[in-house]
Amino acid sequence: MNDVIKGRIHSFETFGAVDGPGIRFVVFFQGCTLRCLYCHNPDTWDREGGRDITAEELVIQIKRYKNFIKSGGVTLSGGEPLLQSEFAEEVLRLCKINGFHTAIDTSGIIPLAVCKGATDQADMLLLDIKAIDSGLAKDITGADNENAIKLLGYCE
Amino acid sequence: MQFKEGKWQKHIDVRDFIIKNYTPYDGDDKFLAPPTERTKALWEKVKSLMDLERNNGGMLDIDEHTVSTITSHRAGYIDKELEDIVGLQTDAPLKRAIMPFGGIRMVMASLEAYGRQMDPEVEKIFKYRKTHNDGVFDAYTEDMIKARRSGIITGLPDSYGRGRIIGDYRRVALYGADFLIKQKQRAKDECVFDLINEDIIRQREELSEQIRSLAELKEMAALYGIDISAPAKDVKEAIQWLYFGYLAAIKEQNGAAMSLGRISTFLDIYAERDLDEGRYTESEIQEFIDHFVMKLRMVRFLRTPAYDELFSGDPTWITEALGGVGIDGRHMVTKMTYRFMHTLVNLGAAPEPNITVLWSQRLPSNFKDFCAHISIETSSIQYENDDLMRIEYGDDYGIACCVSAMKIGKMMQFFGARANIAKALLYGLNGGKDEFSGEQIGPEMALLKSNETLDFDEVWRKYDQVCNWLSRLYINTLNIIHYMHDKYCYERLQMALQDEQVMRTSACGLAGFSVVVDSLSAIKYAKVHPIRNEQGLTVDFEIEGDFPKFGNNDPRADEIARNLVEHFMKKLSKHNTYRQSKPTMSILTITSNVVYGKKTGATPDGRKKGEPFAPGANPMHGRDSNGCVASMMSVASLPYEFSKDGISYTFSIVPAALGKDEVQRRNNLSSLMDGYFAEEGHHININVINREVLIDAMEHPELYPQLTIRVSGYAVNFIKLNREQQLDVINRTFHTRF
Repeated sequence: MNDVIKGRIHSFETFGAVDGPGIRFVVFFQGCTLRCLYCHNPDTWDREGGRDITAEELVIQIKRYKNFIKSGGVTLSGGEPLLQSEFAEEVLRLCKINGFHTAIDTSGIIPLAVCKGATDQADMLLLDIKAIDSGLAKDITGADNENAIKLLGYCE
Repeated sequence: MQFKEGKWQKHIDVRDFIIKNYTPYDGDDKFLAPPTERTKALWEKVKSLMDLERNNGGMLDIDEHTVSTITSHRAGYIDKELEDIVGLQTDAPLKRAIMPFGGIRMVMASLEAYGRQMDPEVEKIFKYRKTHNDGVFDAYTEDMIKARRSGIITGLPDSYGRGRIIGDYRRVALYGADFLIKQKQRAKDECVFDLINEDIIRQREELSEQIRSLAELKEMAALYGIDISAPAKDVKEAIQWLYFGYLAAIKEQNGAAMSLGRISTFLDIYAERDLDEGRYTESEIQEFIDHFVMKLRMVRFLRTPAYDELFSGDPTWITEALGGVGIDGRHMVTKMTYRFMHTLVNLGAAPEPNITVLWSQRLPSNFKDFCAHISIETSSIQYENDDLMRIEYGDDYGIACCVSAMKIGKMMQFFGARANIAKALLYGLNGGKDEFSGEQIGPEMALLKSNETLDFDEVWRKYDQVCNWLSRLYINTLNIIHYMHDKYCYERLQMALQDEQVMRTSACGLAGFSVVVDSLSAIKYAKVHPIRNEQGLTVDFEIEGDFPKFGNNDPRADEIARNLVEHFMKKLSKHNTYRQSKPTMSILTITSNVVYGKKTGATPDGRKKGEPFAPGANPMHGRDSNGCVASMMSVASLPYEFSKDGISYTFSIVPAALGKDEVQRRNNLSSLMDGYFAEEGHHININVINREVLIDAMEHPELYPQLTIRVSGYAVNFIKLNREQQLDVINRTFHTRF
């Protein structure tokens, strides 16, 4: 495993109560390929935005909150966390070592082949299929839902 | 059934009685009883009186003719037939008494504010009878008067009762008045030494006053046809005896905070016995508690508009500490703990009594859930860290006012309000001159060399110098105030319900805390250019670049914060105090953060002139951007060991941000408190409320008579705050992520 795996994050929220079970440390990844009409954080779209951080640095931050998230956990959100699959996987791996429950909040847009490693690491996948009808999905998000449906199939 | 025997029978030791006899309760809230018909009828009467009071400008009636003492008024009732627990401060409900021993001027100003005349007879008495307030101003130095006027030290109890003393009211119930009198008489007999010096003379005089007050307490109870000479025999009597003790205290002292102590687990012992022996049912016991709490909600003091501006909403701080864990490891939650909190359901939300849960990681999970549930429903509870305080204060301490822990019956404090350290920082920048008047208030100092851009080290040196002066002046001012209060307005009944040898603290405080943290951080990590007026006074600042702010769990800002606390506390410790009291410090503003802000010029953190401070130890609103846990972590990192009088934090969140449904919200709130207290946070006010509700309540107060919110250290009826304070509450950070 690479020693220094870096990723780009937008910010974090130290109190997520609606992003998986319990109190969760939420990492907002920077960069998303979808352009959902109702997106409420479009400032996470640009893949060049945000700031660099190594997986290790990020987990050091997360560990400071252990007293709050011990019955909750860590949620990777965004942006699209699986757009940085390798980074996400490493963050999840380190979280696991530290005993945190983990979740990925994803649109499922990333091909399974790319995101399988990260998906396998997570305890929970919050898969947000924006629309079940492929045409409608395209209208809302700018992309079809084929990968998301495949990811759902894989997880089941 | 007899109570378990112990040393509590030989001498006064309420804790011993509790530990030997109480029954921890691990169950849930299902046993609780709804309000009885009697309770509903009585509460309707009280509510309509409170409506009348509100519609009458916040004042129902005043007895301006009678100087209030323990026995000054004949018995008063709401509805004699309906009341289980009796006793009012005057002869009629919500009628306020005058208590001029703290200061006759305060009484005059209050009467005038409500369109009443000073009774000539009363005025005549106080031509010859000196008050606490007169004494203080006889002794104040020029420096003190100037510092008081400029507002660098404010809220001083120099014209009214100092409060923050808790009588051990349980003693009245457990021992009866006669035994207490006998004990005090013996103490007085023993208080004879080879050298009868000033200390001993004062001690002997105080003991005589205490004995006299206990006799008057008996007399007061007799006015209601009740004889409290002997111990209470059942739970109803225990509540009544205890309440009489408290009532006597509030008939004589209009102290800023008149707290109740820690009574619930004590009372539960009687309740368990009565249930066991079939004397009373659960419903009857709840009724007694509901009626008792109604009485507490009706406590009123006569105060001036200036006082209300500082401490808004008619607060009395009848703080009752609930829960906690004993030194033997058993938690101290009992059914009575639940019953007490259940009054918020049976009677609806209310600011008083000031319900304070002593939180421990080891409280039973049922109780934690129940607390979270009641907080979400009522926003009426504050929480304090029992795991932190137990080390210092044991397992029989209470909370005076908002955050001040003290061993019941064994400790008291000399309340000292607070110093405005934001102003102290500005004095440092202005050579000791006040930023508004230009008057030399602080020590004369050379002006800053770093003229264009403020230099951190230089600013810190100046601030340090100002704090040397300020801490000395502050302690000396308190010394005068409390010397005079002991002399002219001594709390004889409350002290009669304490041990003879009590530990005293001089409780100082800080205001403007997060403003100074952020200001110093801005000077250190950004570029701050002072803007000066023609007199050379710094009146504004230009900030270039960003800087770490308190409330984001950023070690750079939090380090400054921790240093500030330790720094000022160490300064305070250097000075000699009245009666060898131990200096302590709190970071607590109550609602005075608005007034203090108004009296303080622009600060280097970008806060404009006159803008409110954040309350207590809160981060400045809108500057905590990493979510509420980060904000809590910053506050929790403040060193309690250097701020043992308490560190107040007020937390507001909208319900939807706490979870998707009631169960989630409850669990998340409970985990949030476990986390905050595990990080050694000291105090937290919890509000779970939508901002829109508050905005609507501002416009339609009549629709929200009981809307209660927690502000720094106490709860308040939102509609009783003035507009400025309402806006301040609404503008504060509400955690709202979805």
